[in-house]
This record gives sequence, structure tokens and C-alpha cells, in this order.
Amino acid sequence: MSDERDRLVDSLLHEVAGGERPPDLREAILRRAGRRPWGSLTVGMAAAALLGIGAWIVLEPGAPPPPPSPAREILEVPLPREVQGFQGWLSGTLVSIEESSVVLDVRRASRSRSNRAADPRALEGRRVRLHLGRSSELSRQLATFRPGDDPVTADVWSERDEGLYVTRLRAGDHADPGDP
Amino acid sequence: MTRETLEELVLAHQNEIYRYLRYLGADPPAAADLVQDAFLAAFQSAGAPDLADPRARAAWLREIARLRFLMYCRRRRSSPVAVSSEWLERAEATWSAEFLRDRDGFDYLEALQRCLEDLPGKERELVDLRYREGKSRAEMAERFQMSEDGMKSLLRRVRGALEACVRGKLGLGEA
Repeated sequence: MSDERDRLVDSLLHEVAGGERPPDLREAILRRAGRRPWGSLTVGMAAAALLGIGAWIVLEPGAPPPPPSPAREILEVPLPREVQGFQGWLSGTLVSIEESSVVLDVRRASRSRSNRAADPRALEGRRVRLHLGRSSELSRQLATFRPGDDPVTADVWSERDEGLYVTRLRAGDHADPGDP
Repeated sequence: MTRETLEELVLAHQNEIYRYLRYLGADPPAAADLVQDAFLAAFQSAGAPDLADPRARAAWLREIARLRFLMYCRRRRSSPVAVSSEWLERAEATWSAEFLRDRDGFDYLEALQRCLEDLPGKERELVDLRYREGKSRAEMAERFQMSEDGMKSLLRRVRGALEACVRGKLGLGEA
């Protein structure tokens, strides 16, 4: 029997023989999902936003909305092929801090030795979402930052196209300027 | 993804993702945390597959859970297992081919339950001590007056017998 199959039976025996049951995490997950910034908009804020949109329609009926700038769109999963597997450092401006991610306006990307991305420079000039781990150290680091901080450097890694994950956040520009 | 879709996903898949993380090596508190993280990452992801296809969305959630588990292991000084991307892919292959087999895994759990009920006295006692009472291998070795390595091998043989029984009940034949 392979190690994986032995592990499979071992893990299932905790449930079948030991009585361990998967916990119901629905409420906890939905509560955390509800804490996202757009989930906490008040009715007043939403009404104000609608009024603003209405005013814009009345005052500028002929003006088409500006097309979104590709450079300003937030790069999320799936990552473009050329940056999949990126491992290294990204420096730039911290745009926003959310519960489980931050958005960084990347000015410079430099790769570490374990980088597997074909073209890390494709991240430069883009806004990228960096997912946060749950380490208390990272939480402590994050508490010292505010949106708009510049320059900020994130130590980043990714696996295939699952997105970019930050393992450390530092003030200053620490992306390696000598990286080709 | 809306919160309603997220709720549907959680209801449909939280048990499997929890079991999957336990199988990968997360202890119960870590598995519960990682399940939450995985669903929140899915909620915030723009890369969701066709959510009407339960197998595709389950595979997607497992992929997110694997990545979360890998991050968790890398953050810890002592990882529960020697985790690498290659190891995780092998683990996923076993989970899909042995436990799920294009189903939901409940038939495997039911077969294991029946095989456990048929287990002879001493083997059943070993399983109860280990999994019901949570005894360590060292404690069990002392009780049965054998070495810890011997107990480790014995427990593995019992699990092997259970697995062979499950395969027989599910008509899977020899692996």
C-alpha cells in the first residue's frame, strides 16, 4: 500500500472510528465574507453613490464612460501565463488593504532564484492583488501600513496560476535593482 | 461570485474540503481555519470555473485548499509532512482515484465503516486505542510490550487490511 493510500485510510479512520466530524463553518465563512469593504456599505453610502451616478447621467448625457485602463485594472487570478510561477520581490505603492489581500501598484519586479515566471517585468506598471497568509508576523507587519504608503516591498511567491501570495511586507524599495 | 453562491458552495463542499485537508496532514483546528481561508479565497477569486459543474468546482476548491495548506506548511517551522508541490499532486491523484472515483466519497466511508465492524478483536482494539482514545504509538507500544517501530508497522498493516477490505466491497480489485 502506498504512503498516500495509507494516509487516506488513516485520515478517514479519525472520522469513522474516532467520531471526528467536519465542523459546520458556514456561518464563520459568511461572516468573514461579509466583512469585505463592499459588503459593509451602509444604505446611506449606497444612496449617495446612486445620487452621484444620477447626477452624472443628467449633467453629461452624451459623455461615454471612460474605458478602463488596462494598466489600472487589478491583476487577479488566473494570472497571465508570463507571470505564473513568479517568486521574488515587488515594490511600489500600497493601494488598498483588505481582509485577506492587499493591492499593490507595482513599480518594479525582481525575481528570486526560485522564480519560474517567464517575464516578471510584465507585473510592472500593473495593480496586482497579493493574497495574505495567516501568519501573525505578517498581520503585525500589515498593521503598520496604510493605503498610499510608498515605497513598499512585498516578498511574493506563486504556484502556477493560483495568484500571488505575499509572505513579507516592508517599507522601502527592496526590489533588486540589478535584476535583469 | 455572490454571497448566495458562496453559501451554496460552502454547504455542498465544506465537508469534503475539511476531510481533504485532514488527509493532507492538517490537524483539526488548522483544517477548520484552512477551510475558511479556502472558501474566502474562492469568493474573492476571478478565476472560478463553471460553478454548475460540481466536479469542476470541487476540484477547483481542492486546488485552492492545497495551495493554502502549502502556505500553512511553509509558514510553520515544523511542517506536519514534508510538503512539496509534487507531493501534493500525488496526494490529489490518490484522493481523486481512490476516494472520489468520480463520486463524492461517501461509498468509501460507508465501506470503511463496514470493514471496521468486521475487523477481528485485536486489530479492532488497536484501531480504537489509536483513533477513538487518541493514544500515541509509544503508549500503545508500551501496552502491547513491543517497540514503537513495531507498533507503527502493525498499525500500517491494520490500515492495509482495512483498505483491502474497502477495495473488495467497492469492487475495485487489487491496487
